[in-house]
Amino acid sequence: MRIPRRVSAGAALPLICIAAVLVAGCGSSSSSSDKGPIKIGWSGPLTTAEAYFGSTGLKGAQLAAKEVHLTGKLAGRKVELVPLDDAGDPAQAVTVAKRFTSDGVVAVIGPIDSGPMLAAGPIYARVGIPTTTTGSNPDIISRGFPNLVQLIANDQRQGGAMAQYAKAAGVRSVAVFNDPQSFGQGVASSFAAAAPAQGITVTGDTALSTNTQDYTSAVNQTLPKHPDAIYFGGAVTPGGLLCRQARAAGFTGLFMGPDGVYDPAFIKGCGSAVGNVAVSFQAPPYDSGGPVTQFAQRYRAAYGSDPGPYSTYGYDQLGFLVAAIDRAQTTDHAAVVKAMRQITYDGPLGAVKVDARGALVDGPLFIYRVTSGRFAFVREVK
Amino acid sequence: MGQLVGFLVNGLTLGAIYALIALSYTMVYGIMKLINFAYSGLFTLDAYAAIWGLGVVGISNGTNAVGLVALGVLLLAVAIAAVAAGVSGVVVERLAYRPLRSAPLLALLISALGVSLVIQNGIEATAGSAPKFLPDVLGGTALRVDNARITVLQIVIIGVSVTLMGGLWLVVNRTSFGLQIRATADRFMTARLMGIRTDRVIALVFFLGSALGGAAGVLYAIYYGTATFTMGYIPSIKAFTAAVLGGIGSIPGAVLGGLLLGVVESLAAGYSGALTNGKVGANYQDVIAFLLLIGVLTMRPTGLLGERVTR
Repeated sequence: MRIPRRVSAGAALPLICIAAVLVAGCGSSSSSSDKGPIKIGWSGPLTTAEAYFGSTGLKGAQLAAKEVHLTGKLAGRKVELVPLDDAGDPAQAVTVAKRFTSDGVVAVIGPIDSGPMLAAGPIYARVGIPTTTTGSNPDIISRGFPNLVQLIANDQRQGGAMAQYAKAAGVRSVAVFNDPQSFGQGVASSFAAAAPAQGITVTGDTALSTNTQDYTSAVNQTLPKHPDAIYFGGAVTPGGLLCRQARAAGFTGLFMGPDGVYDPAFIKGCGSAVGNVAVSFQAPPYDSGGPVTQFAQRYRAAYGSDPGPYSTYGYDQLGFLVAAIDRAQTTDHAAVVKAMRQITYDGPLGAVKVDARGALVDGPLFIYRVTSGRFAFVREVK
Repeated sequence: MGQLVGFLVNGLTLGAIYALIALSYTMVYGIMKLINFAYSGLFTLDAYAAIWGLGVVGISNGTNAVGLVALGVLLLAVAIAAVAAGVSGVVVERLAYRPLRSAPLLALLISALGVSLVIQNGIEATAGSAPKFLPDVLGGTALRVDNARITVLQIVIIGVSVTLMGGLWLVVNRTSFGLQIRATADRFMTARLMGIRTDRVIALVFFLGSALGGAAGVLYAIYYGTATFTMGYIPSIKAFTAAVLGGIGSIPGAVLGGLLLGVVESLAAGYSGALTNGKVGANYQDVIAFLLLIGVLTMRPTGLLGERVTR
């Protein structure tokens, strides 16, 4: 007969500790009480090459949180922003999503990048937490998450706008490259799809390997077809490398890119032979006057540094969520989600409202060129 | 034809860098049977050290150097990196490997992995996670062969790498230190019995190997203009496989393996799209290169030139 082993005290102690922690954890309140601050989560890259986009976007949102009392909304309650770093990485964005959905925040300003947003989307959707994003891949909307709104002009518009610009610049053939991530591939194929309508031939769509920084051979393979221009869909670091290596290989034509390369680090990555570069971006320059410039002034006064590319979008997203919560008069998820489809929010970039699918209506889009090592505004895309 | 020459030169440039790192791996493996994963961290560390060193001397991104001055800058950077690397390599050996000398090899391996993570995250913690940029060295000047463009920088990198490899060959084959290294790499215990101070030999091997790896790191960073804290990871893995391809422990094997891997990657990136009409694109270059590696190893498991590991 087997003598049952007695559980020693030494083994029981860790178990008791774990049980205590679990019970304590479960006891934490989900939604905030009626008088406390409203917690809104923020997921974005605070580290890695995207940190510039992320940290300046976060500051924009924090500025909006500070200014909530000026709007008279939320009956005097404060907004507490809970930022978590997703490093622009889909796996980490999923971890952040799980934390937010279990910690019980009222709403989430979701991942800045499309890849992380697509990965974390199902988790936010399962709980039905109101979520905003500036991930611009159209798939984000076509997935049909009812709790999600995309508050930025999507990539079909970006690709189309760049194709129009290319045609106006006299380009007749383009070699397309993409870094094979959700955003890069998406916007590159949008461009490739829009180009033929503008009378531009696409000589090829090359996906760059993520395991190497060496694109010289991939570039040299496309150059014999003498493209007038190169379009790169993707993020800052591969964009800079590609630009640099294309110039080193003797390419002198127009180099085009989406908002993902709108970062001074891209210009530095190109090196001294930047040449002719045009980039599409969803915000106007901060010195263009009007509400945008006023926003920039308030930002500088609050932080002592210049706003970044997505600062207005961080500000808009928080303002939009606050307006939705105010309209719903409750922090209940379903009510806020419903309110998001009903409101129009007036931000520095103009009116923000979404259609029934959650896509932004008439999002602004602008073209920039690189001149003397900086981005210079060209015009707005209507 | 010109295009082929272009691809070959691209491949040889990258291959030369792989060869330098492969030499580091092969030398350490030959003497200690240790896959020194720390090299991925050291590779990155030395690129950063060179950037910092150049910054101290007053050269940073934005300086546009030409001609001999540029060449001087490059060599200075390589020298800074190599010395920093050599020293770090010896320190790593003292701290992370010597205490485990009599432990099972697996413990050494895990220690090496740990060191590489510590170095990588240490760099991230101190220098930040955003990429650092290097001054443009010799970027603009190029030769034209047919319709391919070969930049002077590529030729210089190949030249510097060949010189370093030649220097290593001289040290290993024509000096008494080299004799001691070869003896230890052949029969460890017998070498000790014959009076060779194996501790010193190992330290020297680490110094040489790390110096080469560090030089490779700074050449890589200058070639691409960008350095990030994760930049060492993938080139190191590829270089190690190149070392295995050529025959682990064999110095000529490492050189051959590195150059071969670089050229195959380049040709694969260059021709795969054209040959398959876009179905298999340049992003499959690694798949093709590693399929080749698997093929070679199944037919010749000890690598192209055979392995030479200590017994």
